[in-house]
Amino acid sequence: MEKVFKIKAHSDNLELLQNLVRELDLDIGCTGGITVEKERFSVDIYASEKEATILEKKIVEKGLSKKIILDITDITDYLSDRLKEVGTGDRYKEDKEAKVIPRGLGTKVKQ
Amino acid sequence: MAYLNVQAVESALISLASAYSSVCGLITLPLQTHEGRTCHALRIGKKPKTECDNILIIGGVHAREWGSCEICISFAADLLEAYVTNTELQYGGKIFSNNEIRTIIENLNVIIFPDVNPDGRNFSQTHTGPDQLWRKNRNPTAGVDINRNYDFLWDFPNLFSPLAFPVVSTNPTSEVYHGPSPFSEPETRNVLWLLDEFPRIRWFIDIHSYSQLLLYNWGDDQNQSTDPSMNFRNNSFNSVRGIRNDTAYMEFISACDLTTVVSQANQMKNSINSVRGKNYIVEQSFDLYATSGTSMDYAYSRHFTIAGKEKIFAFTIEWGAQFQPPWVEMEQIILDISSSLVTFCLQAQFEGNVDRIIVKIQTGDKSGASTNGMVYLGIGGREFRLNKSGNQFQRGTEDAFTIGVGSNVLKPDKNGLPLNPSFLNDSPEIPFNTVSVYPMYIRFEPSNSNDKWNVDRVCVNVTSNFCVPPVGLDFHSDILNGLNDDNIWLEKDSGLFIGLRSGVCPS
Repeated sequence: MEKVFKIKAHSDNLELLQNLVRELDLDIGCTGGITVEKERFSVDIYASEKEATILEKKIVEKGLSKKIILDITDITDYLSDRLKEVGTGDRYKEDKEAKVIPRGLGTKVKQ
Repeated sequence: MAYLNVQAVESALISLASAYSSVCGLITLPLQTHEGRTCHALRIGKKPKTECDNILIIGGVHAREWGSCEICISFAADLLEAYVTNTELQYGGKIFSNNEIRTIIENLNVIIFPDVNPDGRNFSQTHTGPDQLWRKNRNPTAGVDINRNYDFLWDFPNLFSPLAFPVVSTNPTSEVYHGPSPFSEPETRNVLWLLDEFPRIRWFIDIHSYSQLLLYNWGDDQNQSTDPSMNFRNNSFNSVRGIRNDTAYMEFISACDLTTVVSQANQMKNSINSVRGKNYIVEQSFDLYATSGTSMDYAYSRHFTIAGKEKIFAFTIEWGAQFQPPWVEMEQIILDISSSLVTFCLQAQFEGNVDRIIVKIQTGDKSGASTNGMVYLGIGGREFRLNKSGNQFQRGTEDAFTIGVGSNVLKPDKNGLPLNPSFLNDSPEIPFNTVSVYPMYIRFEPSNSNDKWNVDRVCVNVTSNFCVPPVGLDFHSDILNGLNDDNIWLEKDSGLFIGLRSGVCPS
């Protein structure tokens, strides 16, 4: 199975981060965008093993190793565990014997 | 329970529609997906769609953001069960009375489309590795990001500044590929169909993850409320759109609309916080990053671009801190977001300002009770004095005080609502959606230290000037149920307040 990485890229230079994301078409959709804290910019990136390797190489090639810092976390096993949490079958399918009505997680309290 | 697969999402909708057929109906979306799936939505509400405002809530747009479908299903099931069984609905520390649930079901239509992109969800839930984080639809030519495919500044290379940084792409391999043309995808066109088929949709929420954000328009540039000509339809700004912190272009939103959307988003934020203390951030969509072709901006833009369309206030929720949290955490997120959705429906219904408050107070017939002193109602962050001509608060009698429309209280210019043009009114408006936010109470101010007042029952009815015909909320004290033995004494030695909460007043 190909590995998956969550990469947090940090830099003091917003433009450097933006250019990197744009040039490599990095996957930052719905991850909170580029955030800033104490004048340091950060962005969450999701990447396959191949994409992560390209990203690291590109930073070295551009001489940005000290300007863009990558915190790389392998989330392959984490994702596999989540996949095990997807229900199987069709729990709400109506059949002749039983009718299962979905219930919400809110607590219903008699007044 | 666990995450729902795509079959279970559709079956859940069919099952709910069947079980609660008196208050909801199943909607079959007209277009099948690329892989041939038929999608469904649920319309919840007692009134026909044309006789009340509609709210559209969509989820499952991005394949990897699994929990959005579960939020939609759980929310729908909660609303329906609480209504039919006449119960309160509780999410952690946030409780909604049955009266509040009833007003949603009986005054609105809530349309819930939980899984806009079932092909993508199925792909994500049946593949390992990077494919589990698939975001787009499953167009066999090239997957398209549904939330970049709407007809709002879709052609971003020609409509944004070349220096802008919109998170959208013309590259078919990108996770934010916007597709070959606006509304090219069946998933996007299904949402468009709902917007057209339900012309009284006035509120819209697109549920995504992650980042714990509540986003409002616009997504293409920073907002401004001073120059209506500087807007997305004006081609003279095509080369300068989308740059942060400049004045060359900022997107126009009226001050009134901005107040409305920020207020609504803040109510949702407070509701989420009440559940278990999570602190979501309210911000303009552009503050996240520049976008084009999103559902939220398209929904709100329609009243500018298509004659006769209702204005739709639109929002995006970004729940949680990861795309696929462990299920035990997802269950908690479902409670957070469900609470915000119930609050959203309540507040949407009560847009506008308070135009009438009716307070009915039954005084206990108890030996030693006196009525010397003053009585106040706390509401919307301020107080009104309950005082009219003639005798009042006599032992064992009921008095009714009206503030606003039909006012009978003294000094309505200051002790009132700004409704009557015949007098100079120095009293400010009370936004209706603040009524449930601030504490509501009755306060007794004794004239002398020996004054004692005995209260048997209190009922407050509040209506908004936005709704025609008017709809109102009742507030009362759970302690005072009209029986003589549960009266409350108000005096300096025993306390001076009675707190009130939302709920139908006991008869």
